[in-house]
Amino acid sequence: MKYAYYPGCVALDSCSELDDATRAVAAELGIELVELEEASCCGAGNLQEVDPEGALALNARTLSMAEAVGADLLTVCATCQLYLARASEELKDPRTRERVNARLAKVGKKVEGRVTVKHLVQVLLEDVGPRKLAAHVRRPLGELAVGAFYGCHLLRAPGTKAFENPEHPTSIEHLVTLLGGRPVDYGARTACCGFHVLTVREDLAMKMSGQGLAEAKSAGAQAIATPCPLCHLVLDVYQGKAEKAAGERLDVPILHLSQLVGLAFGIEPAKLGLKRHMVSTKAVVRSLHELEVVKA
Amino acid sequence: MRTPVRPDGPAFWREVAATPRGGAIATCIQCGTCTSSCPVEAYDPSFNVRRLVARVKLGLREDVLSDEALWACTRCFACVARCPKDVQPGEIVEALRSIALKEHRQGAGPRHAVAFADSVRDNGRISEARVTIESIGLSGLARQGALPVRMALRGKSPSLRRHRLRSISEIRALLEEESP
Repeated sequence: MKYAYYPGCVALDSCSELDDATRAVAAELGIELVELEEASCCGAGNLQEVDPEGALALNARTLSMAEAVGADLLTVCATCQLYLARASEELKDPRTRERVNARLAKVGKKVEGRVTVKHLVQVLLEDVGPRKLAAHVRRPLGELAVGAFYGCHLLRAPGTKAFENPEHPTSIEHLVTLLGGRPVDYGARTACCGFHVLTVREDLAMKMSGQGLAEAKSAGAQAIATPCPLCHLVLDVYQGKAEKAAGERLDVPILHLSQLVGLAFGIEPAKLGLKRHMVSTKAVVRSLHELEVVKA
Repeated sequence: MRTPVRPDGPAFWREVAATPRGGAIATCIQCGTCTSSCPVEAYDPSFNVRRLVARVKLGLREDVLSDEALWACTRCFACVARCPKDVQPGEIVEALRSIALKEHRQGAGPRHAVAFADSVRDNGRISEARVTIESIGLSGLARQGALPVRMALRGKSPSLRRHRLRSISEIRALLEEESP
């Protein structure tokens, strides 16, 4: 199993633990990741507003690089997933492809529209599959109560084919169950963290993420798992500020989905970057260790 | 697929309808499903996406493009998922922001969008530290208080070094000459 791997900007910068954890999990599953080292930013909506045609051309360039690898493109960020998948869909129209290829010709590249853009969640559930995943679980999550935080762009992605029902998603809960954990249901699991206005309207982002975290906590979540580093950034790094907006102590550890999978696979927490968080993940790791002692 | 816009409609409406993502505006029936799905509106009623579409239909060009609330949308696309007429209100917001940026409108929203695009043009990718500082300014950074220090203590800081793609000339060749 091979993928053209697109970590995106944030998983290579402030959330580098996501890149580490994803590589560790892929190695465990025997997945070959061919990193697109020269791929650009996906634009994240901002570049699409400033320079729509340029943003499409950059994403077409990234897709052409995946075509050269001869594999589907793997993303680990909901926003990267949206903008690359949207470009891929747009490029299925022959007229759009011709127009974009005229621009790509300036840099000696051409896109054919052969690549499918897949987020890690989809790869784990559809390509790897539940049986193989379950077979790799060496440290089941036990009674760890995990709240999913899906991230908008994995669910609501205009211009792309939906992977699951945006109002009633089940993929992360399904994964948590396969890993031996206990999924927690709460309303804000499909809510918005506010990342995309963090530098423009921090007040809004804090109110939105504060409410989401408070809902997860009151539903009994011991940890939140998110498939998006942008959600992670808001929910983890800014949690202290979100507490002020929510008016209550939160202290909810936020795990990247790759980290949760890695923990269940028995990968050492240090290899998964679990100390590189603002909200301590110690309680989560401790509960898993205690569980292992019981098992032994 | 695109519904033709009434030829006697206001010029601004036709302008938005002609953009790649604004075309479905003509089908809006003003039902308000978008606004009632909007998490931003719940906290800040000055961002009301149904009214935004109505203001475009009324041709209130200056009023819409100079409205700071235009930049409060978080791109959560709850409105797009629920719109019964497939108007794609969130995409209309993107189209309106594009027009505002072409006209060099000022404010926190445009500043962030331009900082982001500049980082892509310079390095091919985003430098989080740079985009944040350019977006919020030094006064905004000061308002972050101890957060940057706490991040540094956890090894969580974004890099301050520049990481530029080796193929940066390709990126620049594919983008427009400069940000608006």
